[in-house]
Amino acid sequence: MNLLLRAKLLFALIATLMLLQVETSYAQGEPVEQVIYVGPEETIESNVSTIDQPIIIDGIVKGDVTSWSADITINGYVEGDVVSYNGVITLKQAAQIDGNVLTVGGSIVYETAVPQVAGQIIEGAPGGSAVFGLVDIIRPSSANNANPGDAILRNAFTLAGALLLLALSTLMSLLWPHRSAITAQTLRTLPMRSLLLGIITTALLALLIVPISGLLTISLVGLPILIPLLLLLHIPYAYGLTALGQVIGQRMLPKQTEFATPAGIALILFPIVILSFFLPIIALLLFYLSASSGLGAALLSRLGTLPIRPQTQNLLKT
Amino acid sequence: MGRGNNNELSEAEERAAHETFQALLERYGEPKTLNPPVNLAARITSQLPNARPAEILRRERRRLLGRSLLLWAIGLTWLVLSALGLWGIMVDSSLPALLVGGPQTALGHVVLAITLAAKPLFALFSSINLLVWVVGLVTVIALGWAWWKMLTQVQPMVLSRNQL
Repeated sequence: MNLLLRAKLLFALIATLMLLQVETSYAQGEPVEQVIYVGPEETIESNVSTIDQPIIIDGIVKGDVTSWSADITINGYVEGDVVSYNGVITLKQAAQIDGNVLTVGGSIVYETAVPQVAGQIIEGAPGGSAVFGLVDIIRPSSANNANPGDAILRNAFTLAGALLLLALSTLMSLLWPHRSAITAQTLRTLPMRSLLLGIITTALLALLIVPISGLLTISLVGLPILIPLLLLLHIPYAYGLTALGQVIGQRMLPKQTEFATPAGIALILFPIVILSFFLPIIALLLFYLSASSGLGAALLSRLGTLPIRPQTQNLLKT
Repeated sequence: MGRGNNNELSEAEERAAHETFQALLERYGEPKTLNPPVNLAARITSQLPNARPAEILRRERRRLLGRSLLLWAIGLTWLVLSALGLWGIMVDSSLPALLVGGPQTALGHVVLAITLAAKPLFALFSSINLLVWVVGLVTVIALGWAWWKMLTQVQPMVLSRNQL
């Protein structure tokens, strides 16, 4: 079987899996979600906030009404602001808002001729949908993803991300061949130690992101740099993937050194991409686990500047 | 060797002994002694600063003072911005925008949008239980200690290899 035919078969397989996943999400239908409801006679003295539960306000809220990616329907009085990152804000006849209204990646629906909003109405932002829609990558069952277009878009986004990662990791191995070789050698020599150190690093980063994001958020100027910062944080993982790809690739193709690393990286990414169509969270965890081993080796070898050879261990043991 | 002449070695004998000694050292991995580069002393002397030590010390102190002032300025700016941001998120979202010309101006509009955009994120952080924060802090300290230990324990391996 020639290479072109293999590529075509692979493409057909991926396309079939993507369509299958779309069919599955459609068959499941819209999931039943709990709604946060403030009745006409109710008064909430604090803020009303949620991540993905729809909010319906028919009564009074003496604070802000915020959601991450769910819809907000106002048919009552809100003393503060109304903000939704990726949901639809509906302003009904009886809606009265003393503050401002903002939707970043969603939209505002007016079911009233003159909206009773004392502050500003800010709708949409360039790239907002893509940025705040990131949360939907790991939540395939949300209402926003119930239509096939969104599912295809998400799968295409995953594929594009995987291809970008493959290109970036290959570029790293070409730009720093000596360093990536030393990192790969460290991974071969100390595999368990590298994996453990990588996992600890990932856990630490995941834990530290929360307070750092909080500090950036309250400073306001830090909020726009939060997303680029999170993306930059993935460069070490791409480097880790390079090392792991080199180890696997050289074992797979010992005679074709120039293709070994990209082939190894592709071999790691392929099952992860396929898995992401069905179990995105598991796929994401698998990606971080794989890349963490390389990241640990990169840290142990001080980004490929300190070579650690098997002889070293033997000599130390004796 | 040492025939007459108070057992002293001749120049030729000394040279031969030195060469034998160097050959033996070379066999055991001792690096060869090379002649220093031409004008080494002159080049190093020319790179030395012309200023007097007291002047150098004064410049260094000024540099350190400038650096610490810059760090303090960055820290204070961050604190002021954070206080303003907190006020905007928790009390009055229009205030940060009003300070830059009001929400009607282009900059004010952006500042208001950022203040409002920070609200759901802040709500998410503030919804985290205090106990979770404490457990998180302890976990970070424990993981940080383990991380540092694992990272630094590799150093003796490398040092040992070099020494061997």
